[in-house]
Amino acid sequence: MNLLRLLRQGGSGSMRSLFLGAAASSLGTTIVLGVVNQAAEEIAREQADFVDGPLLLAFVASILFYMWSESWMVGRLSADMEEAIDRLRMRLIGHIRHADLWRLECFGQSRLYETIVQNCQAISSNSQYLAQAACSVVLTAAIMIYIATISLMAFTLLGGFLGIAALIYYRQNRVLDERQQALMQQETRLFESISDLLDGFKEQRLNRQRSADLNTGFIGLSRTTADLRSEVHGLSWKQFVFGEMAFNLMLGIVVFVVPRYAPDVSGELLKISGAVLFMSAPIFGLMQSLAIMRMAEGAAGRMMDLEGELEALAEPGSRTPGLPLPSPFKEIRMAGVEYTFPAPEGERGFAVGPFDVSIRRGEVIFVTGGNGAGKSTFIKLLTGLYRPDRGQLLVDRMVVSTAQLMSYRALMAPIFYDFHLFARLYGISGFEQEMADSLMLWMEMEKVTRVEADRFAKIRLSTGQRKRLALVAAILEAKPVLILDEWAADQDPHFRAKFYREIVPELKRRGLTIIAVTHDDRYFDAADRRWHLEEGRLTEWPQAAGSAP
Amino acid sequence: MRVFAAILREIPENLRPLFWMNALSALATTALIWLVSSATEDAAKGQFSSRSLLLFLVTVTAFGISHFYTLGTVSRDAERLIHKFRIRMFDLVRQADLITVERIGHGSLQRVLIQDAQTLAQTLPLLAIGFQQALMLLFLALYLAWLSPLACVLVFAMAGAVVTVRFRRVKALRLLMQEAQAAEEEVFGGLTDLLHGFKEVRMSTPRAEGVLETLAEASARARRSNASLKSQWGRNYAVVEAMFYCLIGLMVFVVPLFVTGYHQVVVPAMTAALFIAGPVGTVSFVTPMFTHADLALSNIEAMEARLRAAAAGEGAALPEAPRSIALEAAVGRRGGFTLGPLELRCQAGSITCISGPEGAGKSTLMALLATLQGLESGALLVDGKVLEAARQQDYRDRVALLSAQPRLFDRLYGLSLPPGPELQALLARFELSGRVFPDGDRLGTRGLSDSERGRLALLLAWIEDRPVMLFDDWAASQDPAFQQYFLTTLLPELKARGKIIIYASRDETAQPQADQVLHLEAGRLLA
Repeated sequence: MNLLRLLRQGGSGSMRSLFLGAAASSLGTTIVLGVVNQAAEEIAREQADFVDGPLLLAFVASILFYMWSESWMVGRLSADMEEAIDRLRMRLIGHIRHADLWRLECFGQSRLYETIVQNCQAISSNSQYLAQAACSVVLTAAIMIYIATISLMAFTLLGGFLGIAALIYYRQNRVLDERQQALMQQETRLFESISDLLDGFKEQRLNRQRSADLNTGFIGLSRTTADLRSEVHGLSWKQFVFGEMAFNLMLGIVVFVVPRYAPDVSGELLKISGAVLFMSAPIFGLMQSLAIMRMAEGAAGRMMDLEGELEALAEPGSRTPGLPLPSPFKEIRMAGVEYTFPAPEGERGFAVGPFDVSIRRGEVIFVTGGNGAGKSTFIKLLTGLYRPDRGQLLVDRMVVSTAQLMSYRALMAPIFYDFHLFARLYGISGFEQEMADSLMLWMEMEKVTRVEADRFAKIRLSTGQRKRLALVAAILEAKPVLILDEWAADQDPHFRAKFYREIVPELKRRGLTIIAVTHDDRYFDAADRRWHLEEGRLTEWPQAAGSAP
Repeated sequence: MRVFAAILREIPENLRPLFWMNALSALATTALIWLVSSATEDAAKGQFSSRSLLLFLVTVTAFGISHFYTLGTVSRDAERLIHKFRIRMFDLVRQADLITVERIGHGSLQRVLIQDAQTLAQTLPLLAIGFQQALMLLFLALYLAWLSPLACVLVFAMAGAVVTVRFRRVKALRLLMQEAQAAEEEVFGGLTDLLHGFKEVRMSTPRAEGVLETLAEASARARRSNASLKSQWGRNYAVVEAMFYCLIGLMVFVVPLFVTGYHQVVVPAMTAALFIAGPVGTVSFVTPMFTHADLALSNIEAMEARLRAAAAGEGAALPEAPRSIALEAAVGRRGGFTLGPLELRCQAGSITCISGPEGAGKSTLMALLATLQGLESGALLVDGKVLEAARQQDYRDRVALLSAQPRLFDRLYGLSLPPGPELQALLARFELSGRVFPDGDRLGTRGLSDSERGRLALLLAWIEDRPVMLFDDWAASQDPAFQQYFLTTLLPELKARGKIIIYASRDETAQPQADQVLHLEAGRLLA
């Protein structure tokens, strides 16, 4: 049981309290049953129309005991379970934080997100059924013991029948599981088809044939999904009705079969049938909670598997305390840095490098190159986010070791091509509000949004505007090196000119080192040097100004 | 009730047999109780009746068959209902105009097509169970009243109290539930931040610590509110169960005080009371689902009505491929933005170039020209004649719209590709060699970049060969070299093929040799 394994991580003693709680609440219920049966029997036997005082007292006491123990158990178990989920979740997030970029990219961010989000929800929203299931099992056992105290024969017959029925019921699960998987895949296809229509709305609207084909495809998918769902439902109803029938047959056994083999208990039959009726709640409850828990169970398994997979993503040295670098630096150098993308069997992966370049403090360097020339990969290598296959990064002639990688990265504030803008200015502190306001003014964003304490008031803006906010954040970070990957591509002509003619020179004047990937050949003269990339190879463009490649 | 109306309208076929089968299964359960208690009494007297046994077996079988029939049929019918709604809605969305779809929003459409449909499919069978159990309660009540009227009244009064308490408590629980959900959403928002901003987090230790600290706080909050939600749930559950036990207790501790001769009926009355707990629980669980199903259904129906109102009748064809298109005093609106009134005339075999900054209305203009969006006023003329609504789809089938972020379908949907060598040559021209692999009516691709997807969309339009070609900032994602190739070689080639070409771009530095150059500024067209 994955859920139990997970629960054990929540804290010591949670298994014990689960069992104790289940036992206590079952004991309460069984006493209620015994008391009621006893009272009914007295009335029937003595033919008396009165109430037994002590029995009534016992009844009230046992109900109170049941209520207390049941609430205690569910509360305790939920707290433990939530604790376990919280710990596991934070462990997973910790692993992600220390992951290696390339490995994480291969793993797939959306898969990661979905696994964590969906599975956490699946476990958390159904965790109380674990308590229910435990109670149901213990209670069924307790009632069976109660029956055994009345008649061993009845106990044997009912127990045997219950065992066989449970086995058959359990077997039906397997087919159901398999069809359920098929249904999930089918539904994914159906949902994809809906996204196809919505995301490609314009495209399908402009092509009657495509639109008609899309529709035919969807009708087919919808019909198959409906059929498959009906089948899955049919199977689970079959299981459900089987459970009900088995329960009814148990009553039949009590009243028709037991008296034949154990004539001496005929007078006690009421107690046994009453006990069986009492069992209906735990048995149907168990059927229900098992169906729900199947999902939570699978989710717990996937989460725990994920932990192992995430551990394998870790970047070497990321968890060790970092070592410092010489400060302030004079030069950053890439020496013989090469990188090859892993490729499928029999193909050669895209290779970049060797890069042998040096960046001196205070320089403005532009990086140019066509589609797929390796510009973004170059940036990821320069920032140490991709680990090179060969070669080294050096700061002031000192090789950057894995333990120094975080200190190395701390020199740089990058805005990537596929950048992410955080609403909060995480990790940026100690700036004056005035400074932030003047930067917003500089970026001509003061009318759109503002910096409020440590966050941007609004970030749902156009790409160009969000890039300006990212630049505000990067400047506030006060790192010596600014790295920009096609920053100006989303700006209108006016602001693009301002960027190259005003912002870049001013930042250079303030002593920042700037490395910018760009296409804007009009402004190449804004750089001190220019590097050109072609098919993963870098050449220094000798002239500082003007000419196109 | 909407649900009943929809069922009567859409899936009336099996209603009659369903009703009778459901009644049969409820009756069978009640008969079962009577049989069990009479057999108990027989056994107490040392008697055995083979007639009772036979009746018992017949009843159990009848119950199983009728119940299984009911549930299976309702599930199938529910799926049929969903299927009908789903394909009708899909068809309507397909034929709606762009502005309607944008106004409604992808999120709402998806919610209706996926979630509401799912809710309906899941609740309908439960409603059938609820109906069966309610009938059963009715039969049980009659049976109990026959045994002892007072017992019947007491039991059902108690059951009513249980249901009331349960509803009250569920309502109180809803607040905690919302709290827990909000806390969870915060965690997932933080996780999104971490994953989308992974590179940024990796670049700065203080940032990583800040993000993680926020996440840890949110996670701890989620833990606390989930735990308190669950323990409240547990208390509710315990209270409701305890009240059911009291209901049974009534039969042996209270009823005897008021009823003389109760000892004769105590056995069947107890049995009946024990049986009541299940159906009462089910009925009180299922009743609120009417509201869920009703809500889901009203969402679906409202969406359907909205889409239907926006659908236009189409079907007539244009006499020939358009030789010219024009806008006259055309006004388009999107959100609070108004485009026009503007005049525009474009001929076959010519290039019209429209420049303008972001937000000037280029995309709205393109949507108007492609009739993806209707005109607020003014007219779209094709070959000098106003384009009628009935001919819009035929016109649209002759327009290719290329934008910077095209959506590519993994199937070709009716487009036939040229033979191998010709296709390879085209792929090479569009710098897509080794990136795209034709496979039957599909195009295999390997993780294309934005610019590659743009070129692939252009390649497909090139093969489709439509007379009107609209470019909406298409070249923005291309590198300068390919932009140049496109502007100086590909576009002139399209012009030579006699196409009506309209090229909109915000980049004033990279523009084609055009027959007509216009500038769009704040929704106005300037020469």
